[in-house]
Amino acid sequence: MGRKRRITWLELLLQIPFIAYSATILVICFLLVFTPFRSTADLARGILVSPNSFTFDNFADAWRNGLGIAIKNSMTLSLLTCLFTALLGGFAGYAFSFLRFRLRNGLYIFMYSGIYVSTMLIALPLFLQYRQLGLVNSMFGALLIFLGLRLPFSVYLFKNFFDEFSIELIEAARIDGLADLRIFFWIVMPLSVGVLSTVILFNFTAVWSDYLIGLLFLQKDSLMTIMPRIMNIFGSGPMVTQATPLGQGFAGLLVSTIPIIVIYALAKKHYITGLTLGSVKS
Amino acid sequence: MAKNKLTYRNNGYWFLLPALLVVAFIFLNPIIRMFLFSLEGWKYLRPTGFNNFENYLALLTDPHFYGTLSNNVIIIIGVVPAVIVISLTFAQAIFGKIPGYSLYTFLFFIPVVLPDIVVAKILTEVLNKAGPLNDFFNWLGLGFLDQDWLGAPGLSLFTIIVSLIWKNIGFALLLFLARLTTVDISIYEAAEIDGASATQKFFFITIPMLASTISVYVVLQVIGLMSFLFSYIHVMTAGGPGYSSTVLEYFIYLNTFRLQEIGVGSAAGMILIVITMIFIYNYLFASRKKAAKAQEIR
Repeated sequence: MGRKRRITWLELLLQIPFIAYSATILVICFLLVFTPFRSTADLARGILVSPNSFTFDNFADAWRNGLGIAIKNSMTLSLLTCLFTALLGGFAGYAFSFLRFRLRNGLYIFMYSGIYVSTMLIALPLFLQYRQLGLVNSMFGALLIFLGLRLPFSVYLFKNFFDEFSIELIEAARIDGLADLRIFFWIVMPLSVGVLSTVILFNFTAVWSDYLIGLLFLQKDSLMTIMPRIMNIFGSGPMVTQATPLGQGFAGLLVSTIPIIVIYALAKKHYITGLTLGSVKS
Repeated sequence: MAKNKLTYRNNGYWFLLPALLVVAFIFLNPIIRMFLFSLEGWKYLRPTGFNNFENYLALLTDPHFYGTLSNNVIIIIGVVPAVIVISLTFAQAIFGKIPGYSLYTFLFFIPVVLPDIVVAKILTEVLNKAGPLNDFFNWLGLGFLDQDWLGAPGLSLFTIIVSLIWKNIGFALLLFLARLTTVDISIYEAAEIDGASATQKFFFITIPMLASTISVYVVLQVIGLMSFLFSYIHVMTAGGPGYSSTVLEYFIYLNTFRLQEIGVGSAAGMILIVITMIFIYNYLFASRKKAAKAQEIR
């Protein structure tokens, strides 16, 4: 395209909303990145002023208040959820795509509906049941909830991806006498790195960003996950006054954002795949 | 049609079983329990037996409940069309490679990927009565805009709506851009040869091309706004002041976990599940029908 582009008036005019929206995003980024490094005295001047202090105290204080443990807990839960949703979700997707059995459609619709059901609806009944079973304040109990919450979307992604496979490939493997389990691990999974990345990306971020489940089911100090811990550091209520440890809380916010940003920087492509798979096909 | 070649195999159940058991335990089991809870009286977190649908009657006579429902509707009406208009404009301009478009797509993605808690907490600080937004308005000399954005009963819902529009632009933009990149460029080129202006291309090519994507966005966004708003509202206003920014999802939380009105909260939960199901099945059948039609055309 050697042709020189002419910039039209419309394009110039359109820059206004683009710049305005970008500016608001940059303000949020500025607050997220700089606030944690400012001293309490400096922050008392207001949060959106040029910083005149630089300190790591907020991070040290947040760590003392349990941020480190919370990161460890959230990381454990996120990674285990990724592992098991990949495995169980992959199995289920394989069944829905390549195997025929009674009630297949009905069971798929059941599984699919889970994507849209509000977590709030399951919170109270599960909480009461977990109390009876002694599963409140247990990592296993929380992991089970995260698995249940994340499996429907994982299965949906796997099924949509597998549906694009050539069925001849699977049939050929069957004629060669391969059992489904071997077909799954030897043939299907090696071809599914793309969808696996998408599943892992979405499930990691969802568990890492969770607030409600952690808040209700992991209340003990040693088990708290990152988002409830951050809100706890802030003083947990809304309408926080300036007297609260703002810098510490923002230290938590910044640290909690790092894995998310790293993941998206590495795998933005897979994020868009996940959003569009099955929904934006022409 | 390839599907028909598949041989009937019972081992499908074995592949499905682990996932199915977990999902049934985490979704089906609590929803059945919630239905039973909604039929019982409750005292100190213990059921006291069937109570003649009193929870539902209490719900239907609770003025807060209607306020909550109307807040839901207001949020949806306030957020969805605004996001569509803004994102479509942005998508068209970015698709037309407006100067700086790659920087913009990168930036606009940020609010989408940041965790809800992070966005909600930072916005809360910005919108604080003594926060930077009001400082900014005063500095501009617009003192009348110095308001308690999250703390005034008439304003909190409005503020939530604007902040949700702000957060969700990138999501719709991504969907629209993903669809636009699959559109055949030659259509635009043909229109250009015929002398179509940028606005004409937008209204007569882009919008019709994106119609199905827009409807996908509407469904996803409406469900998101009804069912997945808890942390956002909890951090920014806690549904207040009073019930002025409480939505159905938050109303359930308040009743069950805060007021310990388990029966009433569960009845509200059943209403949310019914609304959600109606949405999903309409969406599911609409997309099935569309898929069937697409097959016929092929």
